[in-house]
Amino acid sequence: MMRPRLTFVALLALLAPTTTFAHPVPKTATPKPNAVLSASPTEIRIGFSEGFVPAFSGMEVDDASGKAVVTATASADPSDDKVMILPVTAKLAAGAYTVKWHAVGDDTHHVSGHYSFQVK
Amino acid sequence: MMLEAGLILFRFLHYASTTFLFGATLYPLYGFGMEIPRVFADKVWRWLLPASLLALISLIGWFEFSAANMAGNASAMFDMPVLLIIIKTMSFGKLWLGRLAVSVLLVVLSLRRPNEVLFRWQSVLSGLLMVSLVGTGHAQEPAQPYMAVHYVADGAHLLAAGAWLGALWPLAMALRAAPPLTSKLLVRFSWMGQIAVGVLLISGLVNSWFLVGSFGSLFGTFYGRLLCLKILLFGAMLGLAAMNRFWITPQYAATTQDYTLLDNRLRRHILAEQLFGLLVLGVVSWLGTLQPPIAGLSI
Repeated sequence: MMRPRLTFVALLALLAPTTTFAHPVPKTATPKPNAVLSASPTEIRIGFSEGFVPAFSGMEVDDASGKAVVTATASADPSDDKVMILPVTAKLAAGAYTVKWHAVGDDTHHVSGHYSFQVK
Repeated sequence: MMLEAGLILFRFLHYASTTFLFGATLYPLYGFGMEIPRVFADKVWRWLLPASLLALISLIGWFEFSAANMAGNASAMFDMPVLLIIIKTMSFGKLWLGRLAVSVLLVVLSLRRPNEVLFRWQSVLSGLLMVSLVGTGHAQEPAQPYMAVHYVADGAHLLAAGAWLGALWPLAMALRAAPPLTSKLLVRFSWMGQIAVGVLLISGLVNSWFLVGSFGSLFGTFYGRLLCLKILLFGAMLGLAAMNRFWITPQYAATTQDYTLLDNRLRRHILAEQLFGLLVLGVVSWLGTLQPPIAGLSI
């Protein structure tokens, strides 16, 4: 008969998380929050504290009236899975814009937020 | 909103069932200081099948509602590609597969006739089910170098909570089954209770420090206020436990009169302790779905 306590330790080692679970918290953003740009950006980049699950994460850019103006799909940077990129294919006209982002980390928790920038 | 409520409900059912499974199967191993009485073993064992089935069902429900919350819609619960992404790419999915296997094993074991070895196995496996919840709480937020301390504190917290709260129901059954032993049974239980309370206090302080960070956050955020409610409920449990240990137990040893009055008071206290304990688990189930103050967004 196997010994329960030894089995406990062995199974615990198997079940122990091999990666750290954490909420992805945004640390950097390009364009920066409240930035005033002289030209339309070609992409939006947000760097998170942790990797995120691309299937459950994304962002969009809304104009001042709240209408989404960028329709591309956000994805993870192939060289850094902590960075979310949204290509801006259309030229943004002068005005105020809001970046709305949402991300799910390895811990399953959903986090979201938004910030603004302007194009002159 | 409904998706969040569903997740909180299944978290609660899973916490409640695993807590019961661990505490109730551990209690017979230290509660008597001798061989487990047959009648008592049968009585406790009868509850293990429904409890382990509830643990299994709530584990699946927790997974399904997590999928729905992550995807932002209820249909994700039945969307095989979405479920496969979780299982294949997320630590949560892999952990849940392992926990699913342990849950099934618990159901299978509870179908057999009880004996002391099976009680040991049940307590070990349900302890594993409890302690592996560390990966699903907030034992992860910042401060990478201290992560191990946070993990250990969270694991100890879960096990201590299970050992105390889960043992209350079998304790009540043992008291009813063997009235002449009441004083001895209470003293034995209180040893474990005091160790559990010590562990809960220390590990709770460590976890709060990691997740809340400051007294300002404790009162200034919803998460902090909910944590305060949990501490108040825990205080109520502690008050009842202290009354049982330092007021009622000595009376059993000193009195030679009718015990009915003491018995009734003790039963009421244990019942109230369990209700407060379930409320604590309810608050914990909610807390686990919220953003702790320390993880505040920086942009």
